[in-house]
Amino acid sequence: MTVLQAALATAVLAGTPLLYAALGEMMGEKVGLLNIGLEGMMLMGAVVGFIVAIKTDSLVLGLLAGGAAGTVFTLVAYTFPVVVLRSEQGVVGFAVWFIGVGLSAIIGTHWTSRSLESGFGNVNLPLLDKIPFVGKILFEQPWPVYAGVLLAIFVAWGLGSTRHGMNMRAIGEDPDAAHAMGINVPFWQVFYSGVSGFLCGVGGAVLTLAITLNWNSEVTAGRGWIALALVIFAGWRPLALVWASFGFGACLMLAPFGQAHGWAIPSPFLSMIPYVFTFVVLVIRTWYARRSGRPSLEPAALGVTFVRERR
Amino acid sequence: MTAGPSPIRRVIAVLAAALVAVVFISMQSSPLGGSVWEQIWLSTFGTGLGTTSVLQLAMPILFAGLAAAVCQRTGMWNIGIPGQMIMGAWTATWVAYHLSGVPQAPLVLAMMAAGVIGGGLWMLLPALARVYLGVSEIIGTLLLNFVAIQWLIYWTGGPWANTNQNGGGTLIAKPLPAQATLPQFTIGSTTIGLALLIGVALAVVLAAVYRYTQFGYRSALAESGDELVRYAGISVWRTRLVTLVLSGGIAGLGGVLLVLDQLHVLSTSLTADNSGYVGIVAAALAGNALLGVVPSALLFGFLAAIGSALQIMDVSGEIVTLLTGLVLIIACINVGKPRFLARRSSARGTSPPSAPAPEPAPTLDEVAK
Repeated sequence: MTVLQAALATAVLAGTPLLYAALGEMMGEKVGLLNIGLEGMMLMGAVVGFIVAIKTDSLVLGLLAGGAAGTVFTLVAYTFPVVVLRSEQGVVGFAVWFIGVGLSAIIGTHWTSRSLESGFGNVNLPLLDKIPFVGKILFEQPWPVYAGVLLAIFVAWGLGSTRHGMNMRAIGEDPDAAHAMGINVPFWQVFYSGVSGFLCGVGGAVLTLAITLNWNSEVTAGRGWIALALVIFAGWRPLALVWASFGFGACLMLAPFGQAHGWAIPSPFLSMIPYVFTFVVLVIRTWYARRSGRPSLEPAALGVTFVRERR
Repeated sequence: MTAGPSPIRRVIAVLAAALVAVVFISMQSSPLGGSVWEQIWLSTFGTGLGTTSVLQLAMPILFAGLAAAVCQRTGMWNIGIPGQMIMGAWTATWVAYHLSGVPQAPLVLAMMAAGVIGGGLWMLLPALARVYLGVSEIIGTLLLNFVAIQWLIYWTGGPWANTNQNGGGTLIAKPLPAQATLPQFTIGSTTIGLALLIGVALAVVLAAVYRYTQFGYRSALAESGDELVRYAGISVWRTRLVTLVLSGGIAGLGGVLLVLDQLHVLSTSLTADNSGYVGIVAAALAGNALLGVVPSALLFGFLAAIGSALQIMDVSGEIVTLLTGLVLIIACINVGKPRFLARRSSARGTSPPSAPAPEPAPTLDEVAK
């Protein structure tokens, strides 16, 4: 494996937590829920997944526990206030971030000095890993990477080609119309915010169990916010999220890579790149979307509180 | 969020958070021995020193709260306050290094002006992206925080690094000119910094501006972003742009004053206590009333002092972050007044403005049409 291949393979791995979190957020947004608290949800998954993995000595259980923690946390801290009590989504999402940061730090107080001996090992896909150049980058990865891509394909199919997916999109576009069609809007909003909590939790757990192999309270370093931006960047398209996540993964890996190879650029500037890149790309993407006049897939009722009695 | 949470809700939020705090702290025992409650009392209002630290911690929260409230009053978010504080402090430090021979008063004034400019300019980028293109200002402002933090690390660890001082984990820049300080007033055993008084004065001035001037009236109207407002000849995009940059300038001023008042040097501990984010919560608790931010900031200063007391006792101080989130969520959840009881018109079109605008952002193109 050449240096470039190794670097790109790390980039794919680094992008995987983003992929999970962004997929979760996108599914939530498709049913009209804007949740800006991804960072807090990812941290909850990261800390619980890490602790469970060490206690049970099982990475899979850790991953699932991270997902479960994300689900429970999101349902209690976000879904209940937003869907049941009809609070403002922006404010609640902001609070979710704060609570997630505080709670995960409290839970993980005594775990900052621990580390996993080994994370998820690479699974080589037969034949595919023989493809020149690309094979070693894409097909010699831990299984959560493949699972994430498969999930994105599944979500793309489900949203685009099934009746259920169409119903869910209808909720995001016009909850009143969806309600009139007989769709149970609050139920699906609760369900998919739970799913988004699960995926954010898994994303956080992938981060601690496959990449950092240890826990600290700043382990996500803004990945939740990058994932939030990724959804916009990918234009609410699940498949676009895959390559977008991996591209941003490459950005995240630039600083450690540059440091290891003694690049002449000071490392703070390398560390800035993911955030600058996200911002610049978001600006260009929005500008381009306005110019091209292509219809946006942004759910029209995103962030709007659904009130059944209002109709 | 013009009206904001009702006064009763605010009290309930604070009391509920206090209850959680009491339960949590009672469960803790310090590995160092001694009563946690006693330490908290000594670190807050129990001693003059404690009161001083509460006031000191409240100062940056006050500026951040004013910056957030100004923004929210026009229906927008500014989550980039920590970044603007950093850039304000950085610009002021740059000015101070170049004006080292200047006497105290002009130097401090120049630094404050530089801070306002630095914070405002840092906000200009996401503000233009928001106003012209409709790029979410929530994401834009927040992402630039990470950039600003790295910028600070670069300067304090590189060109401006203080090689004589080992700050442990924090990077410290070269010392500022000795006259770059703000006066402190001592009343009994409590010290009040001029910076806090400037903050209170700023709150009063801003409240007056929003109450009595055309600009205040325009931004209150621009909050809704309604067609009607545009027909009335009010330029929504210009009001929003000015508001966002003003908000950045206030945050930048807070950053400078934190350096002048407490840190006395540019260092990476500038945003260590998350005051920039806490200020947003303080503003929300005050219902974005500009004068209300003052008591709200004091409350969160008190909370921050409790956090540092817990850290002294080697108990996790992170409970403060959790409590801050709890106060926000309890203050702002919708319990008392189900929305379907509100009038139809207000229930439908104008979802509360503090929520990220569901309607597409009015941009220059649209306004020009």
